[in-house]
Amino acid sequence: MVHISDGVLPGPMLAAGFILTAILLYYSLKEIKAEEIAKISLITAALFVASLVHFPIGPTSVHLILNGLAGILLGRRAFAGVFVALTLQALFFQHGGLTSLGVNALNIGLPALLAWQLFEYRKNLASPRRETIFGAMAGGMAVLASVLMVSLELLTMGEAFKEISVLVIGVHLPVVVLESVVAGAATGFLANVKPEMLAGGNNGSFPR
Amino acid sequence: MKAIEAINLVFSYPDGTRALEGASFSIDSGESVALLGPNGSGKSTLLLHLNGILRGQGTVRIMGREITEDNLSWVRSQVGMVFQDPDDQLFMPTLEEDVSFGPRNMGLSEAAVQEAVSWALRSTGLVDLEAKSPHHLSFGQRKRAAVATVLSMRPPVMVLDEPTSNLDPRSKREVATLIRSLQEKGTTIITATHDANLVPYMADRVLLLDRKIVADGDVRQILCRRNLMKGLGLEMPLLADLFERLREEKIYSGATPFAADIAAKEIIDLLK
Amino acid sequence: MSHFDPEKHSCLGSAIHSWDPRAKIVSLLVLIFAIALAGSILPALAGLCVSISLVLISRIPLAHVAGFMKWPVIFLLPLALFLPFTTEGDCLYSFQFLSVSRQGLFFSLLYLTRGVAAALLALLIVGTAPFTVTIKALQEMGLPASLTQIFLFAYRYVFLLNEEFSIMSRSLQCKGFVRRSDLKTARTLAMAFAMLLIRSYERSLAVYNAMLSRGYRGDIPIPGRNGLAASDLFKSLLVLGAAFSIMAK
Ligand SMILES: Nc1ncnc2c1ncn2[C@@H]1O[C@H](COP(=O)(O)OP(=O)(O)OP(=O)(O)O)[C@@H](O)[C@H]1O
Ligand SMILES: [Mg+2]
Repeated sequence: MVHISDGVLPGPMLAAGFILTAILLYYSLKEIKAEEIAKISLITAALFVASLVHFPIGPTSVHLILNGLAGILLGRRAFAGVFVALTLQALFFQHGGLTSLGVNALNIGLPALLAWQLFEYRKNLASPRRETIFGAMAGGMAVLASVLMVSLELLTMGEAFKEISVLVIGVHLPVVVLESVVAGAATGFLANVKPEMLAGGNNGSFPR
Repeated sequence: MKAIEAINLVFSYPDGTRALEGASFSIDSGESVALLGPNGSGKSTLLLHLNGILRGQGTVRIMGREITEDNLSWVRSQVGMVFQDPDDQLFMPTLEEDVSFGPRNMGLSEAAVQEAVSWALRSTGLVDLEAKSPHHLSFGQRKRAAVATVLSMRPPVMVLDEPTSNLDPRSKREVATLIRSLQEKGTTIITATHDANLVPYMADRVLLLDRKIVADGDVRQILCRRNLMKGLGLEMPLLADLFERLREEKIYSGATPFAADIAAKEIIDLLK
Repeated sequence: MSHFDPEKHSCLGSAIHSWDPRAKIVSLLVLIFAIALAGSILPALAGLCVSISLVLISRIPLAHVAGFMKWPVIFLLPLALFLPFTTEGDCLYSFQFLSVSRQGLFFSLLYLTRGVAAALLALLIVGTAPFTVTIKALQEMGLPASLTQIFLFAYRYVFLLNEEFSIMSRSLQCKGFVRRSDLKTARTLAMAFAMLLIRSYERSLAVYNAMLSRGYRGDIPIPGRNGLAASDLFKSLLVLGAAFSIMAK
């Protein structure tokens, strides 16, 4: 339920979402180099595929959002990646909506940028498992932030949305834990095998 | 004129793997050359040097001009490169866009682009598939599509990395025939391959690579040298293997046949 | 996703398919916004009728379209079920401490109608043309070139990577891996994701080399398109007319 559908949010919020998304897209794509395009596209496609995978939780199953990993891998370019992935989801799976695309990109892309910033702090920790630790923190934090943003937006629509906002947070708490485990394990693995893939890695091809 | 000249190429990957250790060779304009070598011998690495994608120590000259940072786009208009994995090469959502990608980048007029595209699709037997997405094409079709994307740029030099691997026998023959017909029209071609039996159908000369060039010569000369081929773990063409054995047994002394019909005639003569 | 084929109905040749993509995208987007922001039930229902009619005109089978309403419904249904009870207003019906309000019922119907109508139209935008046609039309209308390319390449490789991931999960299954709700499942899938990411990263380097080899220098030239025909403008006028009358209500 973190992808808000069409038909719910009021006009001013939709407009604000598009304006902020446009600004962040500009920031995210600034000074992009030709060699980065293929990387951003393929990593975005891979995260898109991974986000379609079902994780069983008790009797139901959930999809991951993986915006934390997007930030960890793509750094500043993560917002563009999230925007593209969300547009494809809205167009091809009707998951989220076109009118709410701006708001949704913000809800998922802004935490991706925060995750990247949080992940940068790993450099201050002298532990061999620092990528796992910070990856887990960034992954969990990103989803939590997205969920909080969604429920806040719903709350602004009035008293009547109080219960549903709480519900949104409640059902996503297990996802936050799950994302944290997945992001931590994946980041730790990548740090060992392909450290250059992580944002701000040793080749610095995704500039800060 | 020399179309390709490589002098003392040395290359190590960032992880320290030494892939080339002083490879040198040259190819005349209009020649078709096969590059043979076991897995990991550096074939793909060597080919990537020929249009400046990889640059290590040593010199590469194309049409007599050394590849430098400044002439890369000219080099790429001269040397068309077909990659080993067609999914690397087919990066656009439809075949038509992929085949027209090169000509459009060369700044051709729309009419010229269309003509180049339809010629490339015809040459590779892919007419009617241009609107298809790569994931709707069979592996063999994708392999040929990868060739078409380069063909449409009509480069004077073509570099093909295992264009026949994983193809069915007929498609392999078709690719070999295509290579020959391109050569007849004046294209210089270098093809990395593991299909020793096909080599005589598409090339006149063979380079054997094992981090450096270990043998260079006429197809007949190289493919018939059992010790050389077996030493690198390569297989000889079946007929060459057979007739060389007959020669070693002093039963046969003529030229080694590579085609079944000629071989059959020789055997009938022997039996007489 | 394994049988996912978004271009299945992209060449049916209906009036919507033959519509110039630029005119189509703009007009349908205006209509989507008009419906998504409709202030009351009647215009929203009218919008839903227009959307369904357009889907019918497009000849995309309704069963196919209905299958895509899963996500909007997953999002909208909880809202629609909660709001009648949580909205304060005239009580229509009450049961112990729960009471259904007229205003609440109104909102839940309104959101549901608007959401489904808008989703139908979004499906219509992409479903009636190959994706590259749509995305190039967007580029002509101002989508930045870098973003256009990310769209094109990401779309191309989603199918390949999905295939690669299915093969990976199948081989995990063959080794006896079963998805449960436990830590081991999360770790195993995390490793599978990491492998998928590594392969995508390495492929991206090869793809970039292939692009360079064919003269890529950062942009993809697109061939020019003809101007709009009278029929394109006529279709746009009809749809925009519908959009404005929904807005005016
Ligand atoms: N990107 C890379 N990073 C590190 N090592 C590499 C890379 N690509 C190739 N190598 C190594 O370089 C050596 C030569 O590889 P190359 O791909 O050129 O061989 P090849 O002759 O084309 O083999 P094949 O017949 O399997 O295609 C191998 O040992 C390989 O493991
Ligand atoms: Mg190779």
